[in-house]
Amino acid sequence: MTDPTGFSCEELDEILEAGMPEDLARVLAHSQHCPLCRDEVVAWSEINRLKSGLHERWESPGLWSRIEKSLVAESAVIQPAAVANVVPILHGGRTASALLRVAAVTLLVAALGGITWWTLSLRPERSAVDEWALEESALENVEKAEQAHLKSIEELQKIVDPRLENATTPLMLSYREKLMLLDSAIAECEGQIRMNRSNAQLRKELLAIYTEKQKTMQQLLKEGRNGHGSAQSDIQ
Amino acid sequence: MFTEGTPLPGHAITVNRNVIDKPGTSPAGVTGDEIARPGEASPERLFEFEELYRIHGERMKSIAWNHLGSRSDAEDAVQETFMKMHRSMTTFRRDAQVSTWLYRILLNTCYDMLRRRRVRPDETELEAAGEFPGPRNADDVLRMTLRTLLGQLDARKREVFILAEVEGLSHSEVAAIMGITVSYSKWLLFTTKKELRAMWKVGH
Repeated sequence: MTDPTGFSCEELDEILEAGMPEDLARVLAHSQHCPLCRDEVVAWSEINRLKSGLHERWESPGLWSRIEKSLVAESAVIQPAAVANVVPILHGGRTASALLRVAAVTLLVAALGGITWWTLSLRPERSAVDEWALEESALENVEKAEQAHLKSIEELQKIVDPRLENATTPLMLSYREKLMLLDSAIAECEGQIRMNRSNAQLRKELLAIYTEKQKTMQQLLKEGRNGHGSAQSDIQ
Repeated sequence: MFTEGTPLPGHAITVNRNVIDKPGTSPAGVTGDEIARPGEASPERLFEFEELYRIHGERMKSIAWNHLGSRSDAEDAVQETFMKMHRSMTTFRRDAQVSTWLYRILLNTCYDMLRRRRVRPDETELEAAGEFPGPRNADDVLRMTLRTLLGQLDARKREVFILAEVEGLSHSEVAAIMGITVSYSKWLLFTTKKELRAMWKVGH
């Protein structure tokens, strides 16, 4: 719905997010005669008012000393235990035989370590190659899926771009801004992926942004087809 | 209350980096070995941790409380966070901020505790329920509603809302803590607020 001042309901989300006072004044004026936006503004202002109350503050006078005790207790368990295993051997009655035992154990550990290292040094080369191949093939699959997704978005973009270039109405301008924001998010995400191709989280982010872009362009075209006032005048 | 965009205090990081990150260069004259050993709570490290607690403790408790809904669980989460941090000092990436790392560990600890709570729900839910203060006025009731709605959100959306809107962290800080990009943090918060408004309208 677009009011006589040119304000369109579709602008509401962006204006509430930006929180610019002059735009909020326009929203308030508009919401006087638009029940849908009024509900949205009421929800927005109530959540805004209440959210600061979710910061919970209380005194915990004993908490730091509790943490400190746990830290000290944990180190005490780790360190003296290690020392306790060595000290009786060195200071016991049969020092020489104890030292021999220590030497024998050290030799045995060194020999076992050497054998283990030798065995493992043969294996990793092959398993590293296997892992690399697996990782590469998984990455290639993901990239192929991304390319297919991107191609369908590009098709949509070919239809949408000329329409957005001549946009004059607030609704179309708002769509254009949203798509620009999404494009910058895509560029940033792609930049990070180039530095770390196997980061699954970044891949998920990129997919989410692509999907949002596709959805936005579809909405835009739908608005045009449904003949939504100002949108249609721009799209035709 | 922290205002929007209140930066994570930086001096805690610089103070700590001397001791935590540069073995052998401690201004307190402690040798690098003593500091770098992960299992040891040296007096210097305790001092540094106490500084971290003094600066971030209140915010940490609040974040944990908003995830766990119980003060005693929140305090346990803060304690567990420091223990985990102490145990994994050697894995700390030197290019990262200590405060970012601290909050990341805290959030993971909260999720661990929630998972444990799901395993034995009766015990902990009763404890948590016993600690919730009853509503004193209309705003308390509304806040409880908002908290319930937050609980229904996807974990990442809840996280971004609590960190940015409730605790007032900037998007770059939220992004660093959550391991996402700044643009995605902005986008996630935008959609979260929209979703919350829709849920709020249905609830009223």
